[in-house]
Amino acid sequence: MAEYARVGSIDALRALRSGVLRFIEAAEQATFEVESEIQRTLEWLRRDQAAHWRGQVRRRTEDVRRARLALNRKKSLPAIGTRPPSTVEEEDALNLARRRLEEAEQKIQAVKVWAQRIEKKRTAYRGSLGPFLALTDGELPRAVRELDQMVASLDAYVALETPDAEVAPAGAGMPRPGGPEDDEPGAPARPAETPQDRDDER
Amino acid sequence: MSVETSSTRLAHALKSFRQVWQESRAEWRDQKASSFEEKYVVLAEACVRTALTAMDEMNGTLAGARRDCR
Repeated sequence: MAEYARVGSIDALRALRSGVLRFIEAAEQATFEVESEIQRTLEWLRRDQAAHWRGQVRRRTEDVRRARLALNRKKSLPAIGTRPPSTVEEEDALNLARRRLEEAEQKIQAVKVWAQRIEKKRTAYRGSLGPFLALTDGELPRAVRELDQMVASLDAYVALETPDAEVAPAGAGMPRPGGPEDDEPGAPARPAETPQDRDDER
Repeated sequence: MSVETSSTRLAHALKSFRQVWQESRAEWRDQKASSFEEKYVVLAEACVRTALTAMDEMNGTLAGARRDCR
């Protein structure tokens, strides 16, 4: 027995085809942008931030050296009366300079650690995205081909059966463009059924 | 463009796809439509969910790097 397609509007299939294509495009754009953002962040770390913090280490090392010199200079000053000159300010400045140097050294280490962490996460991310990429690269293009075949077959059927009509009546049963054997993706659509085919089945 | 923006766009694309499917499904009511839904629509939803989770995780990692290395 012939299997009939129950398609109320061929335009609905065309709209679905366009929707699938739009989805593929949006999905590909999203994955491309994420990859770009990962790459940009890695370059920012390895090039910009690594250079920035190396420069900061040099500058802050010099600050520590100057702060130490200032402290030593103050300590070498002769006492005023019985009390030696206060070095509190210089000691505070030296401590601050040391903390800032330590921070810059930690940042250099952090840049290395984060770059390695992002590389590992990127590998895991790409692995997680495998099924999604198979969907957009393989499954959905196959869906588009199936829809193309259906639309072509239904258009041919409508032209054959109702040459004056642009669209078949809503809910009308149309010969299915492809029987059960066509359920495999990519299988060619069966030509629209002819009246003779139907007579043969009776 | 940030990972978060891409993730939001992908979620929106899935929503649009789901909507166009539902509109088409109202006009296409046979076994082949059910098969299409199972093979492609349900699969797309599952794959996008996985992708969004992966993107969110990646976004957190990149945000951590920007915060700690600035």
